[in-house]
Amino acid sequence: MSAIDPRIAELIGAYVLGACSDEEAAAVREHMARNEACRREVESLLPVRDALLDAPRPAAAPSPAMRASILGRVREEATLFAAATDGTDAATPTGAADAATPAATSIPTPTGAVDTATMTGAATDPVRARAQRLGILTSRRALVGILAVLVVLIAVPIAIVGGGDPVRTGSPVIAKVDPQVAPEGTARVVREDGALRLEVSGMPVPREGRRYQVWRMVKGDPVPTPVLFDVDGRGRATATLPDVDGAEAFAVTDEPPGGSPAPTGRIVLTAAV
Amino acid sequence: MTPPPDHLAELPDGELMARVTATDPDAFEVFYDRHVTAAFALAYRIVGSRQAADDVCQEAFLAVWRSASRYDAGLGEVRSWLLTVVRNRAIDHLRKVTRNKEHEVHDEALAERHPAPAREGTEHEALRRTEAEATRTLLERLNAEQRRVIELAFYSGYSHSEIAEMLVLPLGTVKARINRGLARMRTDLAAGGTA
Repeated sequence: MSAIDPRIAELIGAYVLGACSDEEAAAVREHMARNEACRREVESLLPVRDALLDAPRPAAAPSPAMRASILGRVREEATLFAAATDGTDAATPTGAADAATPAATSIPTPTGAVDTATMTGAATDPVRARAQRLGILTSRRALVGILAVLVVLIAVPIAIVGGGDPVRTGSPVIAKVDPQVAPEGTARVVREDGALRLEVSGMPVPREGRRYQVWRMVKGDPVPTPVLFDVDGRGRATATLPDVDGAEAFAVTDEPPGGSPAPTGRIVLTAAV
Repeated sequence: MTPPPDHLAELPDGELMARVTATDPDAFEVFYDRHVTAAFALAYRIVGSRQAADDVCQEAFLAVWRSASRYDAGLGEVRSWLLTVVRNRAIDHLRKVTRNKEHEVHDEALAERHPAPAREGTEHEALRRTEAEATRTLLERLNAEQRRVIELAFYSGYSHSEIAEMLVLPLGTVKARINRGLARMRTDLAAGGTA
């Protein structure tokens, strides 16, 4: 068994801790691939890295709201996923076999191979199938379906109870806010001086690098608008909406700062107009 | 929300992950409850505030839910995989949000770096708590220089070059301290953690 290259040997600790540059990490991996001693040295340090992951428990605890949010989202996605894939991939195997899918890299690196939240082209078929199924939940087509259902759920009661066209008559339209996103959230659309205005309160600040974007729903299809807005510390914001222009509703999602041509974020509210 | 069936709580992580891969939300709930304390502790240790730790955990758990089929049992335990995702997300968060005031942000976490164990209700959690204590012991057995460079690298996300610059040390010295520190921890771990 050949010795470890001294230049690589001095990088191994930093590699295990994820403290190398990308180039250095690549050099270590390349050396591991052809040098048994190097591979063994890295493997021998993985239990140390795992031990470092066991941080002492702080006095603070994870919030119950986080649990509710995560599990609510998971159940929502599982339901949507089941509906979205019903009959479309019945032959796709799922279950225990997927969990044993081999990955391209044989040694988990501190920053790369084990953080596989992002799907890659190297995915095997079951992996790709699952990614596709879960991806459908954030795809334009799936969101169109979800938005269409929400519009029906909101627009029909308003038509029955309120009658007429409240926005045209000057009465505010109460928007439907996703209670899982904003339990205290409220929103409405009002017409003032001929312009439509969306007023929200109690909405969460989108995660970093995201803003709220307004969508015009036309025949159940989301049409992007240039209207983007942020909320203040109380979750309040006012945004001037574009003309209805044939839309049956407006919807709001969180999107990248410059907006998106198709919905990528979660629907936080819908307002039938 | 209906609680998950009792039998799921008895399943080992690998079997739970197989169910999570098949998008079983009950299995994910058990998985979440089993590991959230450790995930939160690690996130909190890195980002230093409860809200940020919550955000990191939320991102990490949802990432695991959405990419469960990418887990490879041959590469290590599910728990290590999850915690590595948490660690990477937390470091990303730190780099994006708090890089310029890293030391201030860590004050809260530093004060609780070595908290006394609190009471826990389950044997499982008690075991995890013991492991966390063992980690603390492993780190404490290092000399201060070794411990510092390892903590800066692993919990603060600095590269060895950045650490060298920050501590005004030759890069070779930082590399050597990391290697010697990890080797010491490996020896102590093999001897039972507190040897």
